[in-house]
Amino acid sequence: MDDADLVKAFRRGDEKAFSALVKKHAKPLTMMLLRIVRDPEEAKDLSQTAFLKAYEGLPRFMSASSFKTWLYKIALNAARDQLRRAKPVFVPEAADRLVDPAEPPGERLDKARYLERMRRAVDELPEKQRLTLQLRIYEELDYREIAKIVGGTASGARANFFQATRTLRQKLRSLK
Amino acid sequence: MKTPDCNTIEEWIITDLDRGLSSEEKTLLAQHLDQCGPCRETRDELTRLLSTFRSDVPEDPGQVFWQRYHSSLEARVQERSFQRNRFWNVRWNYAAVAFAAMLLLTAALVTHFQDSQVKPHAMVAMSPELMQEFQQLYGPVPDEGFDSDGESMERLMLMVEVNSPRYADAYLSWFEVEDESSLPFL
Repeated sequence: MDDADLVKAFRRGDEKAFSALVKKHAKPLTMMLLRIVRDPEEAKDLSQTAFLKAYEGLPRFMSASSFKTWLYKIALNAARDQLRRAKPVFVPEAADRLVDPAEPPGERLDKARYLERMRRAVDELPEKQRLTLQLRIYEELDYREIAKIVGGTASGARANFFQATRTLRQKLRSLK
Repeated sequence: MKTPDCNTIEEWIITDLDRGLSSEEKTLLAQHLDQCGPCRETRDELTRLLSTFRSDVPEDPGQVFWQRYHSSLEARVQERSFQRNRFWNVRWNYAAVAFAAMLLLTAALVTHFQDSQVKPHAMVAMSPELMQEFQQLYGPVPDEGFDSDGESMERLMLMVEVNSPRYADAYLSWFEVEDESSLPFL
């Protein structure tokens, strides 16, 4: 059963259909939120809040967009509110995990520094550009879906992606 | 197609890394990059940036985390479902109480208006002149009089109906009078 069928089943009163939707989307949604807030417990809480809002809103869901797009929009709105209250804390040790220990120490250090600078630069991006970049790279959503989640048009979302990439390149240019 | 210049090459490279260039555009881009050192540098920077960004995924929190996630979400959904059902039950209860109150109010109003209406038998009982006139028109009233109960009223109505002159009788009487008046005087 695809999402649309599960949504229909839930609206007919089948509670198991909602459990199926949770099983399908919980992990990708929480991981997406984890990339934004960088705290597993907070990501879990935001993800669950999004599902609860979806549970309450599904009877009125008009299916103008896909369930996934709608769910991500709910989750990102919740995450935005959270981020306005508190900026994510940068976790430096997480950078070490992504660097290959088999590489020479100089290269590892260089990569770790690059990663750290990149994260800071991403954090400094305007919210729409940052979210567009994350949704495009990690979730592989098309610009039309991104526009529905973040707001604006598909061409605007594409422009945001290009601008974010250019800005990051400029900021990381000094690091080779 | 026109070969891109150095001013627009960054956009082409980003589009290429974003899987958006056609095969013809890819060929043109490759031709430009073969000849242009600064644009190759731009391509290397963008490739490094996007590949690093793509690889920067957080570690999976683990099986225990996901088990806790699902169990606590299920509990929260059940709690929300219970609250929603209780909310609807409370609303139905309020609706039922309001409906019952409306019924009672309607019944009270109907009773009140019925009591306040002037009843014919009461008028008859209260007015001796009217009673006398009534007897002249419709015949004698029974000795026991008219009570306020439904049976006496029915008898009264039946008596009025039987004894009252019909329009047809009145019409015939008028013609008879007319006919008599046209006869020669004896």
